[in-house]
Amino acid sequence: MIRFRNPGSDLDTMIAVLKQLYHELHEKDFFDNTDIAKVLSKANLMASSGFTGDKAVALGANTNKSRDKTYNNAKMYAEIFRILGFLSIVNDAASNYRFTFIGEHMAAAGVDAKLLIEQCVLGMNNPNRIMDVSYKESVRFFSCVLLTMLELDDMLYRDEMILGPMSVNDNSEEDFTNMIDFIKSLRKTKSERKLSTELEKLAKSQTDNKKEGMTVNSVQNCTRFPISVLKYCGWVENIRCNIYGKSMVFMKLTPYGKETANKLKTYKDIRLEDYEKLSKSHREALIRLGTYSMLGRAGFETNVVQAEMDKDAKEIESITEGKEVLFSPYQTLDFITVNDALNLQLTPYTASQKNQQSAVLKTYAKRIIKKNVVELDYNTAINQNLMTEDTDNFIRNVMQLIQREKSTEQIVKILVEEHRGDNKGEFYPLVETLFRIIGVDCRKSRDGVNAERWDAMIRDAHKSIPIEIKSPGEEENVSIKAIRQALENKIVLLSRKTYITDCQTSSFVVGYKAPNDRAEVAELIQNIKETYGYKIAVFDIASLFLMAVNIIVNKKGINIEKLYGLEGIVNVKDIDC
Amino acid sequence: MSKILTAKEVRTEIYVYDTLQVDAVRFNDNGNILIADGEEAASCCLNCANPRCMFINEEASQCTKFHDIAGSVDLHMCPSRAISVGERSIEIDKSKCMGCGLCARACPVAAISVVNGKAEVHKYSNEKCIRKLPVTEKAIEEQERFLIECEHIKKQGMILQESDAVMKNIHKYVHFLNQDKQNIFVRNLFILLGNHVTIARKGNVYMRLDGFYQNENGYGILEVETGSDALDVARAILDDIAVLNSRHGISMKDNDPLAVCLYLPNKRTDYWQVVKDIKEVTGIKIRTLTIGALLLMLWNHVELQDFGNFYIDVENTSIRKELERIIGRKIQISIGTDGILESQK
Repeated sequence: MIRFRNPGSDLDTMIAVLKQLYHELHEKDFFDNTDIAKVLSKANLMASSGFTGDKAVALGANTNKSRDKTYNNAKMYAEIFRILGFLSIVNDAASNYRFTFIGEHMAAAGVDAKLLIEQCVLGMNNPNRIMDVSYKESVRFFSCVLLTMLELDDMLYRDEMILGPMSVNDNSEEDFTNMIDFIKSLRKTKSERKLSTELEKLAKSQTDNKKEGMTVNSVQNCTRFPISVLKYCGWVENIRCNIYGKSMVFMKLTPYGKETANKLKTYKDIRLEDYEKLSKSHREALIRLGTYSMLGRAGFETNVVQAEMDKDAKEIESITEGKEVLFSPYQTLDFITVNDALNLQLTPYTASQKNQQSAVLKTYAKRIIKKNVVELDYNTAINQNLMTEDTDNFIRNVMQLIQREKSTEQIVKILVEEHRGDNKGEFYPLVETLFRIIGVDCRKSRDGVNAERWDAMIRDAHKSIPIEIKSPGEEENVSIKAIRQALENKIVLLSRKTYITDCQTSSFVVGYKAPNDRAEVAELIQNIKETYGYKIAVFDIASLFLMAVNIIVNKKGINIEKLYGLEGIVNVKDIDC
Repeated sequence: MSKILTAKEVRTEIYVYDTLQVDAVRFNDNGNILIADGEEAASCCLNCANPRCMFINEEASQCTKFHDIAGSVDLHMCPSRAISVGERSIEIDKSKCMGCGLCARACPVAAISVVNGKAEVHKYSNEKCIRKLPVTEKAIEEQERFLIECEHIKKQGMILQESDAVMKNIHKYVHFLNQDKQNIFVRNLFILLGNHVTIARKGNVYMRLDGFYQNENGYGILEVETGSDALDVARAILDDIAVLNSRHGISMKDNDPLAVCLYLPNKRTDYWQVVKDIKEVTGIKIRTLTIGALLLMLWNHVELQDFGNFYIDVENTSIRKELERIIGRKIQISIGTDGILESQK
């Protein structure tokens, strides 16, 4: 299966980046990823953690290049620009680049460079001599997508694109027809399950980083870039339709997409294997004709090279059958071969020019995020006044697990697993139960009371705490959204005074699992504290289980006074573990 | 390398008015009029080499106060990209046109009108005072000098007469735009009302705000909501302010946030009370505006750089009075229509 890494889907930004790189670097004989990173940060075209410029470099930098965000961002751009034929590798070094003739035109194109982008998108083909990774499929992908759509009522679903154009040899008429028939047969089943089964089968058959099998999600992620390109070029638009038994978002060819697809049918599509069969003079003629034809279709004036084009077209007429050529030399062949055919002279590389390479980007201090460890070292016991039927049931459940000789750690694991599928209805009362066992008067809000914006409240004479709860049914990992809601809860409580609290007392978030992006969530919590002075503490359900089970089993817990002032992503530590 | 091919010039000719002394531009139903040196001439598309109707001024998309934050590089004026360059005038793809009037307001010589919900270009047809020029560097320079002169001339009349139907039609189109294009639309509205606005770059997950504005009176963040989750806007604003304050040194005190909605939230939602809570507890005044209100100001040639009076909360959920004060007349939109000027229910 052809895979597209997700290099960011905003083509306008990509074009702006290319133009800026050209402006800054075109006089260099070559440049590398470090040079690209410097230009991008200087021109505010690259962001790291939301920052641009020096701050982006500072935040992204890492002495280990594979972890350096800035460097990797530059590398990602270089890779996509190579695929699009704007940059090529020179000096046989994996990261010494130069602008290609097409790249120079891209940089010179006006504000609206869409037509040249279209040509370069159609130029992408596999196999080629430019990319390190080669997939087994022989396909001109974007052309294949458009032609596939023509055969399938102008429509294509994301997963069909994976099973079809991303996994076919489109240079074989038989393979292409079989692929179309296969998708038609899937549609006839009207079963989304059947489509999913085929996708799962395909995902399992893939190899990724030498590992057998890919997840369906990873496979679907490979469609982000192609879908955004198809939309950017104005070839497709979204349409909802019910082909697989339920309404799904399909891509539909626009009139312009259809016109492009029909034009493609009239072109002579020439691939690497065809090129390799040609004589030297035919190869050179094809390179020239391919390059100038692309530029002509992209709105560049080809008058000055028209005589050359006519001569070349005549020379390879038997190969092109007199049709317009679809062959993108810089996206198929190495830089020197193409430049030689175009008679473009390069400044020869000399050893002294090695010094042109930039210094390694400085490594700056990372943002320091405080760890918030809560140690369960406080002698305590269950407060009988807070017990309810739910707390009694929970304690009984824990006691049964103890009788089965389970350790605290094992009990927590079992409980976390038991509640994996909880929705609001089960999860909110569970949180109330756990806090009551921990030793505070927690009550979940009544359904439908709009003014009580929090999901539960720890009631206290002076330090009430609002709790924002996210059940695993709502979101598995605590998100930024939950933190925002916790801040709103705090402000609403302080304003409306429904329960008494003060500015120093925390606002809580409880979710099934800790946030995925711990650093960003922790930093936002820190930003909120610095800006508004309010503390927010985040618990995952395992932490609450650990606290509650410890009180039941070991009579050890947290000093409640500490609980009121917690902040950040709380990491509960059982000192006996 | 060498011998770069030049881009094909789509324009075969461009135009300039003979005079540099343009006094005013009048929008009216029978085509717009340029008043120059005491004489009136029909407005027509000059097929500008630097078409203001197609692209915003890059400088206006940059806010010096927020210089280290990555902004969108999309400079298109028309959010649905309905405008393209033609041989003798710009062309408008009516199937894409929303009829919003952004391009009409941006054209310095009022060569675009909105008729029956679609933009129409007044093409050159031997009007007096207009000279046809070949597309040369010299001609482009002459045209640009003229356009710069025209940019600040007085505009008379209305680009579009508001009505419930007109507003509903535009709302329908806004729903079809994706979120990035909706943000671009809002950015361009503010820019044409005289502000600098940057829209956050797509895919920048650490900068969750939609954008920020800056003008002579101050600056602040911009959150755009075209759905019904207005409460999320208030929360997002609090998040944005904290991030800007802590990470970018933009003080909470100076940050005047704007919430731009397609519809003002219903009275029943808690948004209005939360806006009041936020003001009372943090001192932050969230101003709430609608896309419809911005369009009304655009069509009436208003420049707006002071948003102070657009603070509304549970005590008053209407911006009609303030808008009528700014425009200087009654607005012809029924009470409650699409939540444009007052919240529904």
